[in-house]
Amino acid sequence: MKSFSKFISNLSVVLAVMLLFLCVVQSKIHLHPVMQSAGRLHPLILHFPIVLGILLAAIWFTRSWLDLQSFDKVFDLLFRWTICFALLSALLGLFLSREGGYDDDLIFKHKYLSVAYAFSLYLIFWFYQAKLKGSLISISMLMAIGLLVLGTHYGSELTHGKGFVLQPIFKSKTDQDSLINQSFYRAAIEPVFRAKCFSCHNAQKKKGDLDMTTLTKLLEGGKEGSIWKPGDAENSLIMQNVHLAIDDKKHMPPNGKVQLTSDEIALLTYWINAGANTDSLFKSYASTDTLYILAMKRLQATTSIEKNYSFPPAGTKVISGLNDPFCTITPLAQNSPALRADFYVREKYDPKKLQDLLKIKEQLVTLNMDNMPVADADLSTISKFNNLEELNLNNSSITSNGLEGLKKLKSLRLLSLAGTRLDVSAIQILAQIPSLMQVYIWNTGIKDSIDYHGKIEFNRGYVPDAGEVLALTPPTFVNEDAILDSNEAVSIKHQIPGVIIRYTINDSIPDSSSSPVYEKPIFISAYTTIKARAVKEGWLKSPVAVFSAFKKGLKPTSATLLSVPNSKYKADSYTLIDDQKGNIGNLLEPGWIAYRENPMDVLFYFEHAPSLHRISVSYNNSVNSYIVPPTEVILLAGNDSAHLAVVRQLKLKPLEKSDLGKYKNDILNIDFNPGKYNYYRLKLKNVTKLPTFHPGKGQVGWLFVDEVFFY
Amino acid sequence: MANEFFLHRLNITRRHFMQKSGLALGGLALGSLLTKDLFKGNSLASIPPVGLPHFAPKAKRIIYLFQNGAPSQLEIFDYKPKLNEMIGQDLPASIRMGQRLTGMTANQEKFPLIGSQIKFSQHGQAGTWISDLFPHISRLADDICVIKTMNTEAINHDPALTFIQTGAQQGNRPSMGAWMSYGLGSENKNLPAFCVLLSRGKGNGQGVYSKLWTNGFLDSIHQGVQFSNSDERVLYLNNPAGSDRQDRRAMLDQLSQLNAHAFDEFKDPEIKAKIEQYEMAYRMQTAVPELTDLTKETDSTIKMYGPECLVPGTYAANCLLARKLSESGVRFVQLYHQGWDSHGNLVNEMTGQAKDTDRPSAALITDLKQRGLLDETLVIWGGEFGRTNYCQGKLDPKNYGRDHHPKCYSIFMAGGGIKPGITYGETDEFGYNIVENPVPINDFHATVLNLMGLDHEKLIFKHLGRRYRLTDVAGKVLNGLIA
Repeated sequence: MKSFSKFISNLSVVLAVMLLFLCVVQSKIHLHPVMQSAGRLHPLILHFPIVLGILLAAIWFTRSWLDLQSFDKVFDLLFRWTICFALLSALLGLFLSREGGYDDDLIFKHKYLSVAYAFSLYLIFWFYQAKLKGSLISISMLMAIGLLVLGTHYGSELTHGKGFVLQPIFKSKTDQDSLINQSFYRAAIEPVFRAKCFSCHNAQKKKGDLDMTTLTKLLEGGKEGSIWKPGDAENSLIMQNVHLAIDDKKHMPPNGKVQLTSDEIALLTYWINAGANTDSLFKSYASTDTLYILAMKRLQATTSIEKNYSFPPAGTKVISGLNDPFCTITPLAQNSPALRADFYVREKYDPKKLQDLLKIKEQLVTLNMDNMPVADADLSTISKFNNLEELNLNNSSITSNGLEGLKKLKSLRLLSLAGTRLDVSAIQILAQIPSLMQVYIWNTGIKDSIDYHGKIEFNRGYVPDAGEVLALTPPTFVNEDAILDSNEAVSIKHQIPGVIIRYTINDSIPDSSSSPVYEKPIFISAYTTIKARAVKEGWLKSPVAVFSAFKKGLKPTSATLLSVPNSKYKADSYTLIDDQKGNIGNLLEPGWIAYRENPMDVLFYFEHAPSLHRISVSYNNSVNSYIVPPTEVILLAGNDSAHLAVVRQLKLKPLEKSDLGKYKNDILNIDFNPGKYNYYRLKLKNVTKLPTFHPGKGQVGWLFVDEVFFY
Repeated sequence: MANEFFLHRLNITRRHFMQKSGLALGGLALGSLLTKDLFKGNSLASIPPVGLPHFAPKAKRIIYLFQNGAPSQLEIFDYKPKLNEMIGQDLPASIRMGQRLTGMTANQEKFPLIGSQIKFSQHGQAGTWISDLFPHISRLADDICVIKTMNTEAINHDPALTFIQTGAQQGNRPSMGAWMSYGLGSENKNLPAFCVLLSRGKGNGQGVYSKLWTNGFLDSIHQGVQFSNSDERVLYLNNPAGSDRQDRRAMLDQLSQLNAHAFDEFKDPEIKAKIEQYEMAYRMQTAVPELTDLTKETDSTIKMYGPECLVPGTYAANCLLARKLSESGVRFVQLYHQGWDSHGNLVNEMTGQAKDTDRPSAALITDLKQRGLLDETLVIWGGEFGRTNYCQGKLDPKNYGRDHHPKCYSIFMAGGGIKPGITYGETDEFGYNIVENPVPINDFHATVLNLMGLDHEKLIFKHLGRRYRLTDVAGKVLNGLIA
């Protein structure tokens, strides 16, 4: 007997320490399946400490009826048993609670009250063994029973729900009246208060002297008076407090409590602004009323749950066996049995693959066959995926006839059919798919308005604004290089099918009717500026695209700079004869040689004196940037570099006001009597004084040259 | 009573004590069996495997229309009439509250306030304020969610760009797209999961560089693949002259044998990545021509995006290509459009930039919608920070500029589970500070990951002895943005 009771108390010590320890670290408990099963015994074991505890108290309070010795024996053993079961039950309960799915608040109360009960028994047992006064033990015994009652009360609420026992007597009003027959206040507003405010503003707690649980008390208001002003949410106390910064002392609900959602705030705001009517019935609000919509939104939000699928998952082997680069099958999420299949690369589509997917016909909920050549015959396969919810058949080859099979899909919610050859008869077939909500029919044969008034939303897509006419983009010149060989031609293209390109080569602006139409690449015989624009019916003509093409000349053996160019832009003299154009957008790149302090003076040398008649100088003409054409040209030629004679000299016409704003590459042609010389010396004088109309009047102008051509 | 306790204690012998202690230790030991990771911190066992969403996602794919250079929120979404009333007055110090400034305006003596010189009006059922610069996006007011309270820590382009793209300012972390590719895998095995498209407008531009789409410490298959702006959008994809697909296959087979051999010897995972990339490139030879073929686009589509959509390298062309990529299962398409850094001549520059981006951005959303793809595609439009409510340099309402402002700026999102038709967050009447619902970059990342079905606290990669997340040690999901 003694060793048995000792065993029980030793067991209790182990259990007590373990319970205490696990209570501290409960969030880290890993449940072994055995523990999980043990935990599920909690609803059975829990009855023992209840019954034993009550029995214990009963024996204690009737101890005068028993003889002392037998009382001591029975009481001692019974006490040990009670403690042991209380601890065990609490421990198992802790395991069970780790499985989750319980109301946090309730489980918190239940857990700690029950643990407190178990340990209070321990304490009392100690009192008893220390032979403390009977009255002290009696009081603590009563307190322990109090803990027991409260703890088990919350426990029962966990399993049976609130008010389970008394429910038949006080049948709640919400159950009796359907929502629609209640006042809007009871159906939509009070639940918000109940969830977010009642815990502090009730008849017992009354924070700020406010009790919100009954309408009369609520309308009385609190310490600061009435909580709303009908029709004026902005100046209503409740809304002001809601909108205070979260860390403000007066912010409601206080920091740390569950906050109102934006929808709830909207609901309260609209309701107060609409007069805070507490009597009008829910059903008196039209379904288009903002208040009605907001209220329904909240009701649905609190009842909606994430979708659970009841079908079994397909094996991972099956799934990986079906996966290939052109058809991927993936679960919707980790641990979800539902699958999604995507087909890729039209060229690789094989209808047989679709039939393979029948292995997962239960699990497939989303099927994406965008841009696949799916035919009507394939739709009969698809109709066997009986849990399919979303189906994308955009740009496939299906017709209205094939859709008949889809009627079998009882869960189909979304169907994308954009870019197919459907006709209007499809609408009637689709209307018979029971759960269909959204259909996309943009760019199909269904052009006219459709006669359908059901729940399905047909998305017609973008319809261009007939009144809006857009300008085409300018055509593009295909040539990468502006300097063309004699067998090269200028090609022009435009990306939009059906445009006509019109162009000019005489520096005039091409118009949309009389300028030549571009049909084949254009050959040039000299420096030519080509201007082109695109034209198409239904579009505005494009801006003009400009391309200046240079004809490649004869290349000198060398070029020598006889004057010093500006040091900032100094490039190698070879750049003048390298058949590479400078970039007008980037003068710093070594395509350009610039002169400011000195005029340009360059000597060109041909090893075998060719017959030439023209020299063309390509220069930059960006007048506003002080980069201007030369004023005077002197060309000398001869076969001995020390004795050259002037073959051409010309003065250029001075800058005009209309030249302001020019920003382009220009060319200067210097013609002379044909001759065969080894040396050509070219002198170009830059502007020494910019004219008075120029912003930099009186200053020295720049001369930028990038290439010199010899013809 | 004290005496009684004393007497009771005398009963506890050493043997008794040892026995009870032993039992207590046993209880502890038994308990600790159930808590094996007690001292491990967050246990790795609770981190789910990568490659699948942690929970059912709202969005499958993202198209991020990045407006590089920081468009001014005050001329697009953040309507502040107060600034027009107070034009020319100095920004009150009580509003600025010591905010650090860039070198461009730090030495300015005065901070003259300037309101938007572009008209605003309300659009859609929600009455979203949008300026006249964005007529096409205005028409979609009920489809988009405008966030007015984005805020960042950096005040200069490079750190701010790096922060919003990688979750850290330093530039050694994986980009958002790389994290998505890592966390969700690629949908279409014939295309990269993360594609990058670049374009530039005429406004003052800021650089974009490959560290913004880097894989960081993740496997290099997660790196963003930059598409070319030439007619050939993916370079070096065609077989060289004289070599056909069979030759290519034979060559790849031999190469992969050699690589497999090298892998056996060195066990370097990069070798495996290389083999996979070769194989994908081979499949891309089939997939890409189908993708870049724009001849099947209808005339109405071309009109919707604007005629520039067929000119490679334009923003419009990139939007159209982004739709095609996304439609073909590319997880993350990242666009960058340069030219929003309006330090001066703001109205002119922004007008040009808006002309480039308004129509194609709206068209992209409309196009996704009419194909039934908007619900599963998240579109994000926005820059790296905002612009100041005061003028940079001397005030001239015809030609003003704005400096960088990190404390609030506006972006918008559409589709992919985002709440449509709302304006989220509010700034003060100066458009300088946030008064309601701030969206720090980390929260933005956490929310975007959440929409993609990823728990930002569980998408983790261990590197150099530390666990990294896109949100690092911060970030919370903003449920107010989620439908």
